[in-house]
Amino acid sequence: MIPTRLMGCAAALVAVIGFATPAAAVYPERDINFVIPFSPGGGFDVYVRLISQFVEKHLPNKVNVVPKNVPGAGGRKGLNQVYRAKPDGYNIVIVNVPGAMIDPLVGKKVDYDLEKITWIGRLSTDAYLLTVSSKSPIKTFDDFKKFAATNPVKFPSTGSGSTAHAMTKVFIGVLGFKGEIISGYKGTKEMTIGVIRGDTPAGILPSESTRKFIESGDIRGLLTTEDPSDYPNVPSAKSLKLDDLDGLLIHRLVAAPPKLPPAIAKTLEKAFMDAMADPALIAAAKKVNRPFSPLNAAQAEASVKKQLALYLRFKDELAK
Amino acid sequence: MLDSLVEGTLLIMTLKGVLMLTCGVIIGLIFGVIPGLGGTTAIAIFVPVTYGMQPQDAMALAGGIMGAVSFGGSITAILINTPGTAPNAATCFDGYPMARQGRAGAAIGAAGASSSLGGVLGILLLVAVIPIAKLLVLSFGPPEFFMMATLGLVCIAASTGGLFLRGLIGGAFGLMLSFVGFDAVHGGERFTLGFDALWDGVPLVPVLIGLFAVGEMINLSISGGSVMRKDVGTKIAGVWEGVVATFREWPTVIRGSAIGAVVGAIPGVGGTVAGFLAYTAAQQMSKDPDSFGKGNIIGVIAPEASNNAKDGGHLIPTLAFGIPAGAEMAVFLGLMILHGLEPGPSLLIEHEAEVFSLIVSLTISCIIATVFGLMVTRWLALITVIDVHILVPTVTVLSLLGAWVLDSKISDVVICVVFGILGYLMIKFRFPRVTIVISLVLGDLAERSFYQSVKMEDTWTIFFTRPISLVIFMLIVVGLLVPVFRYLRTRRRDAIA
Repeated sequence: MIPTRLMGCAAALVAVIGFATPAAAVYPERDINFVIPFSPGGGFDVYVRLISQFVEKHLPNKVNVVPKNVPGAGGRKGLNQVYRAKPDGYNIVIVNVPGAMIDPLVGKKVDYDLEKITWIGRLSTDAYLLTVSSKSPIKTFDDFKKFAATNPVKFPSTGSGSTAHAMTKVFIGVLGFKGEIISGYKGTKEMTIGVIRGDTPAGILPSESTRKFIESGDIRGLLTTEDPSDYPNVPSAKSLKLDDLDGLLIHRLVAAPPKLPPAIAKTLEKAFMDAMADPALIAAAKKVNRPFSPLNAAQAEASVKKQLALYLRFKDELAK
Repeated sequence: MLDSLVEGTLLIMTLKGVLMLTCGVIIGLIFGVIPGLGGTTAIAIFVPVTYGMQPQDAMALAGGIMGAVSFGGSITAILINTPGTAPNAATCFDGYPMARQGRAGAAIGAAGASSSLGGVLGILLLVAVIPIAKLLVLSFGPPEFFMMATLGLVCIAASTGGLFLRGLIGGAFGLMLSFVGFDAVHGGERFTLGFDALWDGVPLVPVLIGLFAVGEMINLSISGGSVMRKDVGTKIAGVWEGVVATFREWPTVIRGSAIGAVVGAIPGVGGTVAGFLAYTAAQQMSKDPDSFGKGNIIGVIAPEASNNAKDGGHLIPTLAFGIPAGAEMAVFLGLMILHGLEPGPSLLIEHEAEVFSLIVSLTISCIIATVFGLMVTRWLALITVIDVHILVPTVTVLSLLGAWVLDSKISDVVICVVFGILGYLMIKFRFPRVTIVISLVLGDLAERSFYQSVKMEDTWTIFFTRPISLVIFMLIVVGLLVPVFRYLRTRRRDAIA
């Protein structure tokens, strides 16, 4: 028994040494873990599973990019795990901004620091919309302003400390009217139905879950944070001169642990950028209605900085 | 619609489609039988596997799993008094007493037949309401949710098995448990005792496995012997008796299925509550309500019909709006999106054929799962005569594994063990365990929807000014009064006699 175990140890040692030496020479040498800090089936999961095989195709060596769901604590568990992993390029994670950014601001305990993490790039974005039910007498943003001037406006939210809650507060803060938040919706989808049903007169909702209801005529969008607007009848915040709301998007970014060697970061960045330019991926993304909007590492980092500044401005409001 | 039905059927009637459907049924049965694993876990594990498949093959696999899982769960409920999946909880009430009396075969036969019938009836209802699905979903707002949750809580009264006060104590304890964790209304965490693991609340599945499976195993290992009492003999037969009884009790099947489908269609209420409601309704309608909880076969038929019919109901909000009616549907929704079938108002127009291939798979699955299951019942029922020295370690390991696998959190295993000890103490001191489960499931929904309703129009009268909410309120009143009247009537009759 003992000799076998000793031999096993020796074999393992040889394997470790064998791996260690050439690893510096050519990255990647083994499979890359791509952590999704959410359950299978959500938007983040779909994006990672879509792009993984195309990243494999554009990496210099033939290795697998393995999607791995690490759900828990609203995405903090998976992100914490990768943040603390060895910066060797074999652990990367998809990050939800502003979600990951708002958590520490509202007092949730996190191990990561988004200013120190290594950004690889951005996969996609999603705009926020100010919406009302199509049955509502509020037809335009001007109508809404008139309504808000005389009534406190109620909004749905998933609960204090959530991204939905924080975004609604930022909207209320920037537009400067009296707002009231009704918490307790299970998720964005339930909030969307709440707006259609008329639970609340208005709602701040992400474009991804609202689009089909705008197209079917159940929901009316009054403004979008994206410029130019993706919808024919919804003006952008920029066109309404609401610069603070402009560019307030949900970002799906890819990151690696801090202090990732620049050579490895460059290889990963290039593989992701090439994958997102691959016509086969663009076609696959179009089929499932999940478009990519790529940013490289430097652009992604700059966009994170800009957003952080905005959320910090509303820090006291958010923590309430 | 008829062409789509034909087209959808043709889509899965390929070698690959049928193979996927069969795999789904087998996976569903196995995941159903093992406590803790259920449709949610099964679909979640197999989502990545379907990546390279055609959408209709993925639908066949998922349909197979969904149709089979709750019948699988009923087998565990009957044989070892542990709901294999949460919606089977109500099946334990009469299924397990039947097993102890040596009638496990009949109970499984009844569960299988009523699952099939219930599943098919649920799907028929789904097909019938697809055109008005949107209206149906939109008419349930927070006040209606609150009333539904209250109606579910009223079921506690009927689930106490005659131990009324103890049942209420359990129910109150369950409500307290449901408030543990992050407060969805005002933020901040409550009653977490400083444990991070309790931030997301007390998880249902580990509690369920602990209370039932682990508690039962502790009890068995102390009492010794086997599940089936020695004095009843070891003959396992009567599957047909159960099947025939199901067809004879067709009003129960129809009522159970209707309850399952309607409750299933309401997001957030789900199959567990549907099972309890169906059980309670069957008991209330019965001429002999006292025989429930002591091995009445109707007590198996009603919840099993309802928990399979709930899949049809569940699909209504999922397909029409992309709102998952429960955890299983949430994962399934992800699967659909992955295959480019974006649920919502346009799904039925753009992908009618795929939707019908799902519906057809689900229908076939409900039937073949039962046939498969009943073929192996004779061997499965042998579990009840296995000696505890073999049964207890095996079931305990599977149970703890089931508690761990859902979120891979060791804290869930700890919770499972704690509730296992509690479960044993409850068995020993004759407290009904299921009342904890009902209020744990509903407490959060009741709290959130009450707050939302009152906030919506800043008045509490909202519960009585909305028609559907008012109707459910009247059902609650009736549900509470019927037993009182029955009691008064028997007393008067006794007085005359």
